[in-house]
Amino acid sequence: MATIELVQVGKTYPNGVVAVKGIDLAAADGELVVLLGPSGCGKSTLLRMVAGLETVTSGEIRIAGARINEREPAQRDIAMVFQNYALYPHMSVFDNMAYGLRNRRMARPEIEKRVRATAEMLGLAALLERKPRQLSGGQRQRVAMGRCIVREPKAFLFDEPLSNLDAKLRGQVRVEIKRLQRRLATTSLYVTHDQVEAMTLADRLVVMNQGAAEQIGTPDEVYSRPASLFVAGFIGAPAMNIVDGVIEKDGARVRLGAGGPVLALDRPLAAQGGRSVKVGMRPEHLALAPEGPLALAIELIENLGADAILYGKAPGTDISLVARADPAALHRAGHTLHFEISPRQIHLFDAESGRRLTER
Amino acid sequence: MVENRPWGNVFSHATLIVGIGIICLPLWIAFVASTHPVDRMFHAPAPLWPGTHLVENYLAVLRSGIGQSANAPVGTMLINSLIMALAIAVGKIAISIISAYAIVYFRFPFRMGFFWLIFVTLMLPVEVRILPTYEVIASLGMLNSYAGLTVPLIASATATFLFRQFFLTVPEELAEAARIDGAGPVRFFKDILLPLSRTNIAALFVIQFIYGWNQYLWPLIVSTDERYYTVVMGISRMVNVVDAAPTWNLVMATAVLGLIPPVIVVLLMQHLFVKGLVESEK
Repeated sequence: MATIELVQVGKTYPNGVVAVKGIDLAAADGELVVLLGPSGCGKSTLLRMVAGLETVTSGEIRIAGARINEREPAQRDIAMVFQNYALYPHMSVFDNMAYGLRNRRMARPEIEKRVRATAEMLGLAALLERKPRQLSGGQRQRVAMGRCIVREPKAFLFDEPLSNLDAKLRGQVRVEIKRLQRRLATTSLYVTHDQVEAMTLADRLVVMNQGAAEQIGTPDEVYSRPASLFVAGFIGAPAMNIVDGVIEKDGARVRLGAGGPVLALDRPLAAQGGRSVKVGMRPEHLALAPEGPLALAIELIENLGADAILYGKAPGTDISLVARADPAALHRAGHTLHFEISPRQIHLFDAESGRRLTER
Repeated sequence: MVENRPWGNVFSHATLIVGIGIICLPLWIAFVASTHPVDRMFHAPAPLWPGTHLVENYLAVLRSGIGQSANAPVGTMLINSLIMALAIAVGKIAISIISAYAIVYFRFPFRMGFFWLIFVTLMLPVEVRILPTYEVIASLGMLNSYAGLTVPLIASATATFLFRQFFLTVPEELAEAARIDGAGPVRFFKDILLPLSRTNIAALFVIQFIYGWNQYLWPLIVSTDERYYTVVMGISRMVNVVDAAPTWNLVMATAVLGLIPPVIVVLLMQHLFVKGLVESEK
C-alpha cells in the first residue's frame, strides 16, 4: 500500500552545508506524519526530497515499497500543497485543478467528473470559473488542496500550508485538513513550525532540530515523555520549566539549583546519586499547595481569559519559574505562592547531552 | 497633490498646451504641406492651412513614387517597411524570450558567461558594427532581400534582459507546482510562462516594431534594388535628389504615410499595457 519509508536519508549541499542528517522514518498507509521544528531544521528540505524537488545525497526514499530517489516529481505519484498556494494565476480554478490531469492525458469527461466532485467536496463548486486573484486566502488554499486531491496520489505533501492564513482561519482550515485526510485515507507528510498544528493534526510527530530527528512518536508520547531537552522545550505552551539540579545521594530526590527546593522522584535512582541533571516541569503540572516545596514570587501575570500564566522566581534562589493558574483567583505580582508537582510529572535530562535519563 | 489651486490649474494646462503645440506643429505642417500642389511649396512662407490636392498627392505617391531618382512607389516601400518591422519585432521577441528562459530556468556550464556576453552586445548598436555586418551579408549573398534587411537586427540584448528580470519575479513555487503536475520544460514554458508574459511581450512588441520601422542606416546600405527600399530610407532619397528641387508636397505625403503604421500599433497595444499594469496578478 502507500507507505512512505525514509532510510538514512541525508542531504549535504555542494558547499558543504549539511541540511539533513540520516533520517529514518516509516509512515504507515493512511497516516498523517508531521515534521515539526524551528526554521532551518531541515524539515522543508526533507519534504522536498520526498517530492523530488531536491536531490537525495544519501539514503533511500521508498513510496509503496518502490525506491523513488531517481524519479522526477511527476513520476512519484505525489501531490504537494505549498505555503504560498502556487496556483497558476492566469488559469481559472477549474483549469488549475485540471492541469495535472490534462498533462497525464486523461479523458475530458473523466477530468470533468473528478474536478467537479472534488470542488463539491471542498465547497468550491460556485468558484470554478474564477481566477485565483478573485479568491480569498482560505479559498485559494482549498483550491491548492483540490489540485492535489483530484490527482488521487499515493501521498500528500504539505509545506506549511497554514502559515499564510490569519489565526482564526488557520483553526478552521486545520480541522478541514484533518477531516479530509481521514476521509481520503491518504498517507501524508506535513511540515510546520507551529506545535499546536503539529499536536492537533499528527498521527505521529517527527521533532527535528538542525537536520536530525530528535524524537519520533505520537503527540502524547512527545508531550509526556520527551526524549531530549529540545523536544521538551519545543512542545507545550507555555514552555516547560528547565532547572539545573543535582540528584541527591540516595537517588530518591532531586535538589533544584544551589540550595533550592528538594523534590521527590517517583523511582529511586540510587545509581545516579550526585549526578547533575536538568529538571523539567511543565507549568500546567504545578499544582497550588499551601505547604508545597516550590515557592514562586510572582513578577508578571499574563491573563489569557481561560488561564493566567504566572512568571516569577523561587525566592532565595535565581531559579525562574512559570506556572499556570486560574485567573479567577486574582493573584497579584508580589504575592508568593506555593506549588507541588507529582513525582511522575518530573522529567530528568542529562546536563550535558540533553537526552532523557533512560531509567525513567 | 490634492490641493485645489486655480492658478495651478491654469499653469498646468498652459504648460500642457504649449507642450502639445511644440510636438504637433511639425506634424501639422507636414500634413498641410502634403495637401498642396508642388508649386505652392516654393513660395515662402510654408502654408499653414490644408490645400486642395490631398487625394491626388497621396494617390500619386502611393502608386508611382517620385520621378527621377528611380524610386519605388511608396506603397511598395510601406509594405517593405511593414515586413521588416514585423519580422524584427517578432524575431527579437521569440529569440530573447527563449534565451531568457534558458538563462533563468536551466543550469549549464558558462551560463552566466553567456548572459554577460549577451548583455555586453548592448554596447554594439547597428552603427558600430555596420561594416563587418555588411561584409558578412554581402558574402552570404543576402543583399537586396528581406532576410538581409531583418536578420542582422534580429537579436536583442534589451529584450533578453527584460524577460530575464521578469522571469526572476515569477515565484519558484509555480515552477515546482508545474513540475509536480507533470509539466516538462516546454509545457511549462507554453502553458504558464508565456501567458504570464503577455504584457511584457506586448510592450516589447511596440518598442521593437517602432525600432524596426525606423531603421535608416542599415536598409540604406543593404538594399540597392528599389524593390527593397523601405519608407524611412526612401524619404531621405527623395529629399536628396541631385538635379531638381525636392517635391516637398510629395515628400511630406510620404512622411505622413510613414507615420501611420507605428501610431496604429501603439494605439492598439496601449490598451493591453494599461490592463497589464492595473490588474495585479498574484
